[in-house]
Amino acid sequence: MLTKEEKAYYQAIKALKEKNYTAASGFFRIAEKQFADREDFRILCETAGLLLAVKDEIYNLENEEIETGVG
Amino acid sequence: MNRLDELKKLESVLENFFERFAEQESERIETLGSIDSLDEIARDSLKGRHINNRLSNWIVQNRTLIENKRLGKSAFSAVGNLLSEIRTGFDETDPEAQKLAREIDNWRRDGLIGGRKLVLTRGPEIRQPEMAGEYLETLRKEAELLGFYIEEGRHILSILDDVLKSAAVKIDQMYFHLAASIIFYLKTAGYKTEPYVRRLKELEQRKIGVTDAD
Repeated sequence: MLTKEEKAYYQAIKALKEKNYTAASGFFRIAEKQFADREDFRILCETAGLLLAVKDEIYNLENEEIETGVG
Repeated sequence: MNRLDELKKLESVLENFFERFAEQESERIETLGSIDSLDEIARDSLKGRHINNRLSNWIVQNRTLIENKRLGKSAFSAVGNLLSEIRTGFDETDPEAQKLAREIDNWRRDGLIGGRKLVLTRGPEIRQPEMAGEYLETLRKEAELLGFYIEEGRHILSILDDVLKSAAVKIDQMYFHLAASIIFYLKTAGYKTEPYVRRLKELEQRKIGVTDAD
């Protein structure tokens, strides 16, 4: 049987393909216990985290602009 | 360029990275999907569910992948292990299961899928640790099966009933061991266990008869 982490790794990759980055990041966190020492895993996991942070920041800035009437 | 524009540019770069990753790794993603669905079949098989149709479809869908040796090293082992686990759960009296078993055996014989995690044939000097390993593997599988039942909110007597039904038709001796273990546990907890003990003994007798006939 696959481990919980192996299943999460597959779910993360599938979520990336479907452009569901929030889900991907969550599944990467579950898979981390088993795959953290793999370089390709770390790149995908950290990049997904970075993309979510960028999206959050864009959302905040756009809301600020709406509230202050800029743009 | 303001901060918002810079962030949008970065967002686009990162999204492009993932899109290209998904394109370049499409075959690997497909293989991971196949392994995941085989894992689901193995889990259902362990629960005693009928999996012949699903396994048969899985074999049809993945024949090219396996027979053209397109499995990577880890996929090769994972598929081999999962098929071994499914193989031990087959109903030995079912002709359809026998056909699927032959298919798996042929793949293994031709080196197209990996073998089991545990090496079962070794010299006598290491027989004791090997048996301990096998026993540990049995306990691990039993714990996994019980975990599934508990997740479904099943009562222990209903679990025992299911395990006894599986013991009647499966090749894997694990079901006998698990049934005996549950019966012993229930006995120490004050339950009346005689009907279950009788059922288990009858099954054992029948199994011995089948083995002798083979």
